[in-house]
Formats: sequence, structure tokens, C-alpha cells
Amino acid sequence: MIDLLKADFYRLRRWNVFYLWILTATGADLLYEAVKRMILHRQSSFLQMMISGTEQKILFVLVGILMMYYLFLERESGFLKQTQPLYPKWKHIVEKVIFTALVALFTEIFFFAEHLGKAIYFKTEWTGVELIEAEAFFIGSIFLCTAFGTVAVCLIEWLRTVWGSLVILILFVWGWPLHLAFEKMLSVFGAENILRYGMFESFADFSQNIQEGSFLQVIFISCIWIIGFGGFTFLARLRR
Amino acid sequence: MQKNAIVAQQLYYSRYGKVMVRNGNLVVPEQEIYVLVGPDGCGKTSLVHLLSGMEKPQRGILALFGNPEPSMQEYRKIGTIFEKGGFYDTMSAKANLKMKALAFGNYKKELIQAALRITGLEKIARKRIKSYSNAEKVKLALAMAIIGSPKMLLVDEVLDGLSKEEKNDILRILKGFQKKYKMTILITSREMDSVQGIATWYGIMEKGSVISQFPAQELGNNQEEAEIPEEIQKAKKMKKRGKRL
Repeated sequence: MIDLLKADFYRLRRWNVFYLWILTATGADLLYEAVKRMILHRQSSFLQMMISGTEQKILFVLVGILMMYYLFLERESGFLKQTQPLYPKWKHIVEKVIFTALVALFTEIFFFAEHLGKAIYFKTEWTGVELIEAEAFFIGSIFLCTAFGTVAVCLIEWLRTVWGSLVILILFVWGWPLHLAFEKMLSVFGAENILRYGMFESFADFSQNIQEGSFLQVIFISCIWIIGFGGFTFLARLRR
Repeated sequence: MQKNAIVAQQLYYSRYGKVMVRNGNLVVPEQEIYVLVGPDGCGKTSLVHLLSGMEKPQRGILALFGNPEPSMQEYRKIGTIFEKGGFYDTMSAKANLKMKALAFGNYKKELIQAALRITGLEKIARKRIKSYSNAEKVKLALAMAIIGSPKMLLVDEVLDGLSKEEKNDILRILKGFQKKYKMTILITSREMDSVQGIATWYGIMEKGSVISQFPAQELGNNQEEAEIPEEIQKAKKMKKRGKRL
């Protein structure tokens, strides 16, 4: 499994798309920062809610798409097929989970550093720094979700029937909004409050918060994910 | 007594309700160059997929290197060359070879150099695969196949679309592999003519079944089917005892 990981990282190092993506995402993030500052200048609480933590989610969706494309290329080249008989299936899946999770982690660390640089440059107050600190929290969710996505891709790749892949897809499609809702709940109320009032009460409060946009944001991101992932999966199935 | 690299009996494989391999009977002796000939869609590629472990047969017996229950250890001894070469167009030949060697856990600079030298790719090793001709891509697939130091090569219809000179060049490399590394080579082809020079055994495939096989020197003579090898007998005994195959 370590051998497969080494090979994957070597290939990633040689993949110019990855560097191009990092540069583009950094540029886009800086642009986003400028737009955010313009919006915050208007002191609108709804807009504040809409944009809080959005960059992390977009970043995550992009990492997911990039990783899926990477795996797709592996399948198209025939390399995956050739190494398939050499290792048990579970090793392939675990290796891909570890690989994509590490890539997601490294990218997030890179963006954390970039954000920190931004905070120092703009001489942000304590609240700003706090926000950046909070970003580190997202590492966990990115880690988990990319891994989850990869497992789904791996399973679909090896599943023999359309029904099997449909089950995985449904699990993923339903699992993803639930995770996002939970993550949003944590960022809105804070882990401390959730622990104090309990999960269900917090969720009820969170659902009432719909007019402030957080729930809409969850649905919006979920829809993007469903369209992206569903399209990718069914295109892959059609090709077979 | 000559050992067999592959012994397959009555392999059966279907996909999405379509029977790809109906009666895969095959005996490939070690260190021979076996050519499996058949028309398009007769199941050659599917059979090679079964032999390489990429697909599992739904029925039948497959023994590799004398083991009637082939494990990853046996599959590691097989190098495969398919239409999809298993390499990345955006990387150089050298990088592709290094990646394959890392995946196999046997990365050595000398091994990569040797693979490039024997396939004649040394001069263009640092160029991206995108700029390679079809023949050069086939050579790279050959180089990648020998990276894992296999005992047997499965070559699936890679000669199609190449000129006569290019085909001869590829066959010369394959012949070199067989001599230098004492490899068993199985080549599938649509026509007998293009591989006639190097084949030592022939198998004829039609509608998912291997209908006959014979040594190259007896080409044209009626050849009786080979006797049931001992690997098959051993596997049959194990099956009777209820062991999973």
C-alpha cells in the first residue's frame, strides 16, 4: 500500500494541473477577499451569513472535483486496471482514501498559510484571526468528506451492477447534505453550545435560522455537489 | 518435462448478460511464444483479462505457474500490454517507468535504464508521451511491462495499426525479451501472418472458445488436443473435496 501511495504522490508531483489549480485557487481566493470586504462594508447580516466559510466549502468542492478527475485519468490510462490484480481491493480503496485525504489536508494547510498571510497584510483584528483559527477546524471536515467521496468513487469503479452504484450514490447524495448541515451548525453555534444544549435542540434552532440564509447555503452547496458527483458517476457508467 | 505457465480449462466469463468467453481451454508451456489468433470480437481480450487477473472467471479452472489457485504472488509474475498502455500522456517515458516501478515496490535506476535501452527509447526518454508515435507508445508499454521483472508477458493486439517495419521491430524486441529473460509470451492477434516469424505455439479462438492449439512446426497438420495436464487433475481433485477455486 505504501508503494501505491509513493507512486500516486510521484504522479501528482509530475501533474502540472495540480500546480495550475493551486495558483488559480489562490488568485480566486484573493479576488474573493476583495469582494467580501466590499460586501462587509455594507454591514448586511444576511450577506455576512451567506459568505461566512463559503471559501472553504468551494475549496473543498474543488479539491473533490480535482481528485475525481485525477482518479478518472488513472482509470482512463489503464494503470488502475493493471495494478488491480497486484493488491487486494481493500488496499486500493484505503490507499486512495489516505492519498486524497492527505492531498486535501496539504491543500488546506497551504490555504491556511495563505489566509494567515492575508490577515497579517490587512492587519486584521482579533476576530479576523479567530476566523482564521476556525478555518483549521475545517481541515477535519475536508479530510473526512474527501475520503468519503473517494470511497464512493472506488466502490463505483469496482461495482459490477448499476443497482450497486445507485445505492452508493444515494448514500452519498443524502449523506453529504447531512454532514454539511452538521458542520454549518457547529460553525453557527459553536461546538460548546451544541454540547450544552444537545444536538436536537441545536438542530431545531438551526432550522429556524433559515431566514438568515445558512440553511439555504447548505442546500445550494449540496445541489452543486449532487450535480457534479451525479454527473461524473453516470457519465462513467455510460462509458462502460 | 516442460512446465506450463498457464493451464486453463473451460473458463467461462460473461458481462452484462453477454458471453465473452465460453470455453477457454488453453495450455501455454513455459518459455514459449504462444500466439492466440482469432477474428474481432471472438473473446481474445476477455480471455487475456482472465489470465492476467483483471477479471475473474465465473466458471472453469485456471492454473498459473503450477498453482491451481493463483494468488497475487502469481499475478505479480505477469506483465500485461494492452491497447491502453497504462501510461500517462502528460508525463515522460522515464517518469512513467519510475511511477510503475514505485507501485511495484522495486524502484531501481538501473532497471529503468535497462528497460529504456532494450526497447530503444533511451533518446526520447525525457519527452512527453503526447509526442510519441504509435510504435513508440507500444515500445513504452513493453518497457513498462518488464518493470516488474515478470516471468510471462501477455500482449494483447498491440501490433494493429503499425507498419510492417514497426511490427518487425516490436517482434524483435519481444523475441529479445524471451531470449534474455527466459520469458513466456502470449500474443493475441487477428491474423497469423504478422506474428508467424516468432510464434512457437498457436491457439485458434472462435466465438469465445479456443478451438485448437498446436506447436508452430506442425502448422497445417491435424493436431490432437493436448493431454490433460497434471495441474488440472490436481485442481479437479481439490474441487471434489469442496475447496473453493
